Amino acid sequence: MLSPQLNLYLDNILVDANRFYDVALYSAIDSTLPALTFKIEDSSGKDYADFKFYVGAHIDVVLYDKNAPTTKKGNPDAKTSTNYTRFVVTRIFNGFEASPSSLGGFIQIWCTQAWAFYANYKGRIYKPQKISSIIKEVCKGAHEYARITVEDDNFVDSTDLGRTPRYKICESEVDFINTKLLPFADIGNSNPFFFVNSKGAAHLSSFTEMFSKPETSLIVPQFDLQESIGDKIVKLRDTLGLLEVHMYDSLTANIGDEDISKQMAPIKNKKYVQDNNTGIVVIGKRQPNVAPGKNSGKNIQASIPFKYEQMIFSDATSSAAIVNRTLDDAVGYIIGDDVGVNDFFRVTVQMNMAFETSDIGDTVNLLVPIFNKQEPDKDSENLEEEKKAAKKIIHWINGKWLVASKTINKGRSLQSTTTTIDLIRPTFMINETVTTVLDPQRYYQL
Amino acid sequence: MERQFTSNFDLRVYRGLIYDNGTSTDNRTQVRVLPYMADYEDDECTDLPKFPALFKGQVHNGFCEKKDGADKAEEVVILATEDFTYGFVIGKASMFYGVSDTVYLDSYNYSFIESYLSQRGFDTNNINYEDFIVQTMCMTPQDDHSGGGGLVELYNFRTGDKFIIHASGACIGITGQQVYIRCGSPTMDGSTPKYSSITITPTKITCNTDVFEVNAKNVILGKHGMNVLGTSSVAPVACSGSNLQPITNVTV
Repeated sequence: MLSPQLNLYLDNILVDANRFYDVALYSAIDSTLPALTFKIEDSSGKDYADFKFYVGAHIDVVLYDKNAPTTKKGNPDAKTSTNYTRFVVTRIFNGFEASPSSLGGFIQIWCTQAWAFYANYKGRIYKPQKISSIIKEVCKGAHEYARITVEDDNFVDSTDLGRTPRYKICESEVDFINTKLLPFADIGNSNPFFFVNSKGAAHLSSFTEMFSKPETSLIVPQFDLQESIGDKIVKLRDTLGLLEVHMYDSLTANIGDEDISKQMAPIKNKKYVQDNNTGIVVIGKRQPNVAPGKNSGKNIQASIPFKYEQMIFSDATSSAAIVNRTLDDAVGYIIGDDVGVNDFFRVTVQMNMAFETSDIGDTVNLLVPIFNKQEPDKDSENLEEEKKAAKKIIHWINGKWLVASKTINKGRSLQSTTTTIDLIRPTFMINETVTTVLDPQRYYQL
Repeated sequence: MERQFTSNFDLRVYRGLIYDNGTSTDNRTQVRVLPYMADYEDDECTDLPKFPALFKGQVHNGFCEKKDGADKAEEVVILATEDFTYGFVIGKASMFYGVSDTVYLDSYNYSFIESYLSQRGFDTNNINYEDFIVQTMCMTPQDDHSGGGGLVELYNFRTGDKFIIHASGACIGITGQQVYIRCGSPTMDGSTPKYSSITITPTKITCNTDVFEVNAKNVILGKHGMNVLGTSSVAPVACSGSNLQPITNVTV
């Protein structure tokens, strides 16, 4: 999209595009519903006096290409535009910056996805069936004003045996899913993610399931930095069949957390469980099942960023007892601890554009420039070693990543649209021959 | 990332209406937890939670919604997780009344107990309300003093006296001075009282009844090693010339 524009509708009425700014449309795989904030310029105070924005007002957002054809009525054509899900206003702030006497300034609006507003609180029993089936049934039963869509392709079956009826009581659908269902579900023996993306599509999946899908975008450096990797861009684009290549403006990377327990805890997770039927106590240790692949020869896809020798002397990295639960639910709950390692590696990428090729839950391929390439000295006594070292130029940041969150921002001007995405993965995805990582075989393998 | 979805593992106390009693193969009590499940549709109720008794060996049955209707169904106290997938029934539930409520309708009605006891032949003159602990008081609609349902089980915590009394007057009473077992009641309906009783004191056993029948191969009434003589005649019998037949299985 060469000239991205955002249209914003208040209760189906188009808001002047010159008046709204500082738009942030946020969605994430670990945040159930997307959120929206923006500001409206109201220097005269008239909008505020008219009470145009009120709690529960519908906000619709459309992203379109200014240069693309429009419909006969002048609206963005559906083929070249993106309709986001419906939001409702939850909070309205006015600081009266222009003048306290005129009560003018800007109005800041916070919105949440409509399902939070149009929630169904009626109690209901869900017959014994897989938790994923219940979640899908709950989503399908959502109020039509909630504007969420349910497609079978976006729901992965959970592995629980489905032997327990579930009781929805005095709670919304989202709360019921989050507190009564998801804690006991596992997808492919790993923690589940349930989220509604910015288009209103509900998803139930796991990291491994989402990561297994082919990349939908190729993200590369700016033009002036592409020289060293130009051939790789072409090769990857052809391999992946991607027509669009997107350039990033800035990149930050994070490994781990100040609170080490968050990511360490699931690595050797010791759990105590008693079978509610037989009384037999089971004590066991579990490793997270989130690695995108296996370590095979030179390819390393299951190693996490701390050394093997640090782990072999560790009895456990966390311990807990699961009580007052059926064995089925206790097992599901234990598996949910995997979530801590899903974002062991987190890269934040900012692009100066409206990045719509990939959404949360999609995968992308990230390329960064060749790192510190040095030609071997032909006269060197260690020529073979230098030849090997000369190959180690592919930064470990390169490769396939999962889009964990996405924020589309629009500043003051109509054209100032940027997108920030968080990319995550739990392990290295490197080849020992060409990676810049020193001694990659020494890292602990999941 | 932090765990997005958590659940509380604590067991909490709830109240529920008995929806259905247990069966011979599954004696768990099926419960409609109140007020949370009050709006569940009737056709969903087959999947209401089933909880066993908290203590092994107990079964908590009572008037249930399925057979007797919601108005008559009894309430139980439940210990369960917040999603009700794991839990136990503790026992029948009392209602709670606030301090400002003047009439506690569920009160253990002492005057009823006193009347109940005295109508069944107990001396209530020396009974003090505050001395009694009522363990079970169960009254059924047939409790009309004509032998219908109802049971009171209580004991005096000062003296240790224990009583189990059926609405018909049948009872067992254990006191420091005697053990009293009775079927029927001496004062129930004002007509000729029919009852049988056994009173056991440290020195004497007294049996009161219309007919005392002993069905035994041998009856031993003493240690003298002698047989009771018997005759098939119902008229008085002089000794000379008559055959007196010893009853060898009754000795005195």
